[in-house]
Amino acid sequence: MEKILEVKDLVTTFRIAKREYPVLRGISFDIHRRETVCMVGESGCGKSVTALSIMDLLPVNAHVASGSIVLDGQELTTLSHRARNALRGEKAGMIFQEPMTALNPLLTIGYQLTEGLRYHKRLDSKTARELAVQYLKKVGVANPVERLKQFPFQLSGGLRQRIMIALVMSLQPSLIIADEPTTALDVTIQKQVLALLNALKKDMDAGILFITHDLGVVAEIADRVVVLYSGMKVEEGPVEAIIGAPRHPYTQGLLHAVPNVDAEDFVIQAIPGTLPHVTEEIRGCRFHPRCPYATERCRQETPVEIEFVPGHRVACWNVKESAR
Amino acid sequence: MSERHVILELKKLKKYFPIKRGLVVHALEDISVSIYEGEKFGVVGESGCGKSTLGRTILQLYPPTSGACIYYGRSLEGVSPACGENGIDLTKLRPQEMRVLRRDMQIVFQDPAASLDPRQTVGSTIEEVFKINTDYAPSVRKEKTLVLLEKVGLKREHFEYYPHQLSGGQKQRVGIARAIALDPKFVVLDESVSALDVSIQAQILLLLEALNREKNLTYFFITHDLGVVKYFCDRVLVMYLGNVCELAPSKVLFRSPLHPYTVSLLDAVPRPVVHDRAQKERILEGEVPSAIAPPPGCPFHTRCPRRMLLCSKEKPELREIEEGHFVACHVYA
Ligand SMILES: Nc1ncnc2c1ncn2[C@@H]1O[C@H](COP(=O)(O)OP(=O)(O)OP(=O)(O)O)[C@@H](O)[C@H]1O
Ligand SMILES: Nc1ncnc2c1ncn2[C@@H]1O[C@H](COP(=O)(O)OP(=O)(O)O)[C@@H](O)[C@H]1O
Ligand code: SF4
Ligand code: SF4
Ligand SMILES: [Mg+2]
Ligand SMILES: [Mg+2]
Repeated sequence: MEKILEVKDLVTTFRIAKREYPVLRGISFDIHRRETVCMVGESGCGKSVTALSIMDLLPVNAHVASGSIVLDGQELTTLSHRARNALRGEKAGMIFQEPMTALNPLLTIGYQLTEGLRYHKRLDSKTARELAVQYLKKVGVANPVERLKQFPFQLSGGLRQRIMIALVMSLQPSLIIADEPTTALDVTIQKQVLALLNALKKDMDAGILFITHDLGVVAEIADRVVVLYSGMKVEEGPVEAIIGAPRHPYTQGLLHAVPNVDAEDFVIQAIPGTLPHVTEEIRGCRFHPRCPYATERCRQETPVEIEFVPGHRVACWNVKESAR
Repeated sequence: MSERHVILELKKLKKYFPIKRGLVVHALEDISVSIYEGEKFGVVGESGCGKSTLGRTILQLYPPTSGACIYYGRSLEGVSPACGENGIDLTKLRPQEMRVLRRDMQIVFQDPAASLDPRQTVGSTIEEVFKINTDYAPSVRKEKTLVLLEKVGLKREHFEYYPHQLSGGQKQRVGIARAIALDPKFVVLDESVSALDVSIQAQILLLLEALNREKNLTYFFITHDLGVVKYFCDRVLVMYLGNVCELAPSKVLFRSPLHPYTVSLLDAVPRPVVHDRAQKERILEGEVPSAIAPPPGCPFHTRCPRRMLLCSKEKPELREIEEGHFVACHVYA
């Protein structure tokens, strides 16, 4: 499979009280064509910042300090903001948690769906309109011609998210980034949208970076999973391995903290403590203050990532030792 | 729990919100249910089904349109019992009488940040509750506040902190400390763990569990998360469009859900188990209809996979199918 996205040693920093603090501390991962990679981790671990770094949509007090982002063979970090602007939508599209933030409340659905097609694909209005209707049908929107005349606030959350998906898909980007696209939806509507995304995968020629904090959603949609903790990648592997046999104590902790609807007598195990603040320097493994297996070495040295089995990478001193 | 005491009894509780141009939101339709002292009572359903409205109407934060809320937790001087020996109908109380009962009945909201005053320290936020409701001396108030901080898993040092210096989980602990300060009997938890990260959510659930055990607190636990409800609650009420679909002990509901909506809801929960995605799944189609113009007959009939001719004509009654297991569906008539 062809690599669509290669992120290597990505460091993104934020300026807080006149000092630079790394929020991403050297993250590397790849996404292939027609592959869905899920990124998981607690709130504040850097999932959205990763997405915004790739899209060049970081807030003004943040920037990519080092590392590289290669999209479809092209290095992005050396391009001007203007050049990156032109790639947005056409090469890489983004779906947000709340589609209202991406849709313009004052413009009709029809205008917003055809605008990109006219601008990026240089289609005339009539062809763009026909294509828009086709994409609305693809994402399961009933009465597509009627919908084109409506404004975003007239639609339910689930419908708005379908329209957002149609909008992003219609430009046929190589990469689609979806940041918690179903988190604001009710479970039955979430299920509809996840099933839709899975069905559309065959139709799309894109790689998908799907951000979520829900490991149930991961099991539904991911091919591979990247687990972030406090700006670092701690584990990466095929979905079966990450959900079925996670190796990193943090990933294991996440799985045991969520009550499972199928388990008969589930015992909840809280991960003690909280995610460190970005300004907090921690010696050794950044997870050690919360880790039940921490040893002296963990408190002194940052763990080196190893490939535990092909494709399954872990950054934990303990895993290396038990595998030997 | 050998002998169970009812602490609260809802009788045909109805709440309509009149909105513009004569339109009315049918938020709650004749809810009747009894809640036992010391139980963790769960309420689930999709957004807009009336969970929050139910919690707030019970606490009389919203005046009910009709129906009764009989509280058996204490008697009030000058208020004649509504029911039996010591029941008080909350809907009939005057504001100053309800104010006395507020000490017994508390609420914790979803957004811990929004419910705290950013200019007030954690300590004074909690102390305020004592100031308003008791005549404790300042030194006693402070000592009680410090004890409470430790009880909810915070440190004494947090007394001097401002909300912006706390994490979401810590803010929620402050919200809980405030709610339990006056030793209430009944606490509404409205999506109180929903906005928290999984690891913090687990910490707060363990705290709530410990408080329930220790003080025999009754929880009215509102959530949209079925996993949390299964783990946490003794009994569960499933709502759809302002109506009760099903009510059963948690164990029974998750082992043998009967109402087609409960079954669909359970089906839709994403499981952390990798399965064959090519396999055809049961997916509930459509969306929840508007509460301004709810469908006739069974409120779920527009989406129900087991719909019959009768369903759009006649509203099913809530019936006890087996002991303690109530269902409102024509299939089980
Ligand atoms: N504008 C900003 N200024 C300073 N720090 C910021 C800013 N935006 C984000 N951060 C910090 O960067 C870190 C990563 O944030 P990010 O939004 O990527 O988290 P996330 O993993 O997407 O979390 P969530 O699950 O809550 O969406 C956090 O510690 C956050 O506080
Ligand atoms: N103050 C209000 N005015 C008008 N309608 C309201 C008000 N509060 C809630 N509603 C409506 O009542 C119904 C139930 O809402 P709510 O109890 O908040 O649902 P839930 O908590 O289950 O998500 C919804 O249709 C909602 O829009
Ligand atoms: S390196 Fe040590 S502290 Fe870090 S996760 Fe592994 S065992 Fe825990
Ligand atoms: S009464 Fe009819 S429509 Fe309603 S849940 Fe039962 S079968 Fe479905
Ligand atoms: Mg985010
Ligand atoms: Mg609510």
